[in-house]
Amino acid sequence: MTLLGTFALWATALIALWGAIVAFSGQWQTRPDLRRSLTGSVYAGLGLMVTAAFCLWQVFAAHDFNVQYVSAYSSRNLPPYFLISAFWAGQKGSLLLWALVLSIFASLAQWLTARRHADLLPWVAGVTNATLLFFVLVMIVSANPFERLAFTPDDGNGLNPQLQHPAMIIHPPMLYLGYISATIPFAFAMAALLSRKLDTGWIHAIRKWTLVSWLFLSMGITLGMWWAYVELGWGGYWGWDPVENASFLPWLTMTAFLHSVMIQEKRGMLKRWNLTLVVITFLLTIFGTFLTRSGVIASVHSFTQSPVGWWFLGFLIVAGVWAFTLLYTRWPDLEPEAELESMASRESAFLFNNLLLVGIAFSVLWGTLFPILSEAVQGTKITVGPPFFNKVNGPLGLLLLALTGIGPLIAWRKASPANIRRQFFVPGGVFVLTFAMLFAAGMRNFSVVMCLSLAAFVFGTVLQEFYRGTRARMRMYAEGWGVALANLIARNRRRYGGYIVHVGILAYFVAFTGAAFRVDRQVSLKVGESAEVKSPYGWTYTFTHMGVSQYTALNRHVSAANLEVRRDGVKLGNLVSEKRQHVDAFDRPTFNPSTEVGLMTGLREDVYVVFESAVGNSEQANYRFTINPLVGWVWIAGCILTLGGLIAMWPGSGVGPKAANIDVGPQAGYAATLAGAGKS
Amino acid sequence: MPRSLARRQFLALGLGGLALPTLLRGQQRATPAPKPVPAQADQLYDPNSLERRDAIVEETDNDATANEAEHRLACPCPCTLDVFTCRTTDFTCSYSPARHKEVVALVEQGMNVQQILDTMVARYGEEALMAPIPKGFNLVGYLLPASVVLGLSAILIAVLALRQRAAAVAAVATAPPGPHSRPGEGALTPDEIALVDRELHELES
Repeated sequence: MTLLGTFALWATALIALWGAIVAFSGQWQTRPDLRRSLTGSVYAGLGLMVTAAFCLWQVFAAHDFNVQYVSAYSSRNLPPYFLISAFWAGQKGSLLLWALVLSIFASLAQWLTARRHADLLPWVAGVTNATLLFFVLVMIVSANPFERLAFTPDDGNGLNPQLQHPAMIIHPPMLYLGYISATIPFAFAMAALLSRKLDTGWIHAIRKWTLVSWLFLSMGITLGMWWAYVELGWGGYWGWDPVENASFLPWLTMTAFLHSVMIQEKRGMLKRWNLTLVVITFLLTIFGTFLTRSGVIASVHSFTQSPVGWWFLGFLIVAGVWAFTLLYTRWPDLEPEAELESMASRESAFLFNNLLLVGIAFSVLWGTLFPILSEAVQGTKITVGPPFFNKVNGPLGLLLLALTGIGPLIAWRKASPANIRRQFFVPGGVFVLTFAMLFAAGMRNFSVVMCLSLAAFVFGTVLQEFYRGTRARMRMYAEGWGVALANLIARNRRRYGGYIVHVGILAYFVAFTGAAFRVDRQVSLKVGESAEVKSPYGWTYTFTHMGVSQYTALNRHVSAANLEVRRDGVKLGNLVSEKRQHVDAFDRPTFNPSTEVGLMTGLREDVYVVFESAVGNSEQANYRFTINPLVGWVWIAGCILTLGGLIAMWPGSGVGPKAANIDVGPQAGYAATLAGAGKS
Repeated sequence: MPRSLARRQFLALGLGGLALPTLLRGQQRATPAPKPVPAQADQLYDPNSLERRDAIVEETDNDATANEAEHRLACPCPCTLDVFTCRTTDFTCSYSPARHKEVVALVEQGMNVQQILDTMVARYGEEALMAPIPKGFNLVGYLLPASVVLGLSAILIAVLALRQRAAAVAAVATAPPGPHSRPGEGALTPDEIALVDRELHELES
């Protein structure tokens, strides 16, 4: 199997090289056989990558510990479903996963848009083949997952206990799907530049693919937050770690693109900016990989320092220079078709939105790299952690939240004062009312009060849009509330899906404010003893230690501390927090003991319990109790955002740029249009 | 008789002595696992399979000043976490409990959060903090992102204002005289006419 896997890697390298050479030589333009061969090279790459991936899973399933990667990340007693996630637990396997997913997306791009973008696809194949070639070469030269050892260990090292969690089966692939699918918009952008076919067709293709990437990345990031929260035991879900930042950076630029692309579709403006955003997004995905694999930045997630990172830096430089040179040479072809007419317009709001999103991306990148810069300039090592990022990004985030509400309220081109007054009256009122209520309730944390008030403002905006649209449908088509609402969304999925995404975003912001009210308490309890913790809502939680039970499971010895939980005297149930000592098939410890948190989740707050340690040889236990307000809303926000994203990208929603302009459905900031459309 | 008995006893003892290691070895093989038997209630069955500490949590561990300071102090281990998070999460780390003890000692001396941070910086350098001190070159780190956003916003606003003014001047210069150009005389105001023109143009395009 390892031989077949290695052969598949080599064969992919040769075929991808062939594909890249044929594409960039341009010979396919006159020779149909070469064009067919080009498409074939993409599908062949997919077949070979599937073969390589199958081979790796096969050696995992066979417990072939002579294979270095299998020995490093699995053991005989590893539960079978974790053999799936063992695939991407280390650097070599994750590179293979990257190449596999890239080949899938490259094939989908060829297959799904074979007729619509026939002129662009050979160039797209060239870019995807070149990228695939890079990944496969890295594996062959520096990180071959099929590399064999000089001896065969009797058992493997096992999988890191923190990776033995269901989220790890789905979180990395989601994140990778987001990262890697960003290659396709980049490929289409390069194809449009290479072919000089810079009409509206390519931007439509790019928008759809970017939406796919954005959705996967959003889901991947949220799943990562969930995993960090339930598995790592620190009670948080986002720590501004370089790896987290690396996933956040392309998300920000993609979000900026998804907004600014609307201006290009509607007004033919910002073409250069949009292409720049697509290129930057792709480069950021590579940059993130470089950060995590080179060891230049200390990160809790980092793969071990290896030369692989420097391969990525080289690729980043080559791809960046090539893409920006190409963009520069096509600059005159990207003249805007219209100009901004007013500051009070949706276009301006989107511009400021882009400015903020890219500004936050710059801020995150700056903070991530600042330790290196500081050491170079001042000669002193510094740590740039959450206090820095919160201080720098907090105000920018609040401005962005405000713009999330303002943007949809302003008309395209130019909004009249009357239009602005009409649009802002209700959401503005909601903002003022919320602010006053929070202030009257005694809340004095300005950031939190502003965040919650702005979230209420955005929610008011979205509700107003849905209300007006639904009411208009009810009048025009005599539909009931439910039917009118469903038809409203179905007829303009992109727009109303987008509003649902906005609700998801404001839900994230609301959830983040909960961190300001977090309560931690450490206690040491003998069996039968109780401790009390006061919640920010005023409730009193009573935790009674019931004892520690110990047993052996498939690949671990478990010590489970059991607590009875009461809130204001009413029993809520029991919580169990565990210490796990993982062992191999010969009962040898494989890792340091790990912790499983006890979690009671709710809409208002989570009760989060960590069994820190036993005292001496007794059942007396040291605990950390954390009351975490509003964390549950992070996961709800993720679900809302995913739902909105799915609605927005659902096939058939796109009616084309021109059709979108004449949609007679009620438009945000289009009160006058509604009246006009109705009469006509 | 007594002599022969003594001989037999001696022989038996000798044989027994020879056989003892073998018997013991066999007994060890038969034992399933060397699990310690709890001496009494409330004792762990297998203490070696989890972290144990001799110290119990004390109220000083929950001191608000200490915890606030620890949230702003970096753990020197490679975890990249702050001292509080590391010591209450990564129970294999020996650095964060040590730093915690130092912080508690400083609290007991009556220091506030800032004094504790200053003392720790004096001892270990700026690296001891979770965020750089906002002075000197570090100010660039804090202020640059917001400055970039503000600067670009100012440029954007200026450009938009100039364009808007230029467009207004051009509109006045090219506006044909007529009833609709004077508000109040026509059926529609100039704003409404402009709106209709735009919408018609958009519909046509």
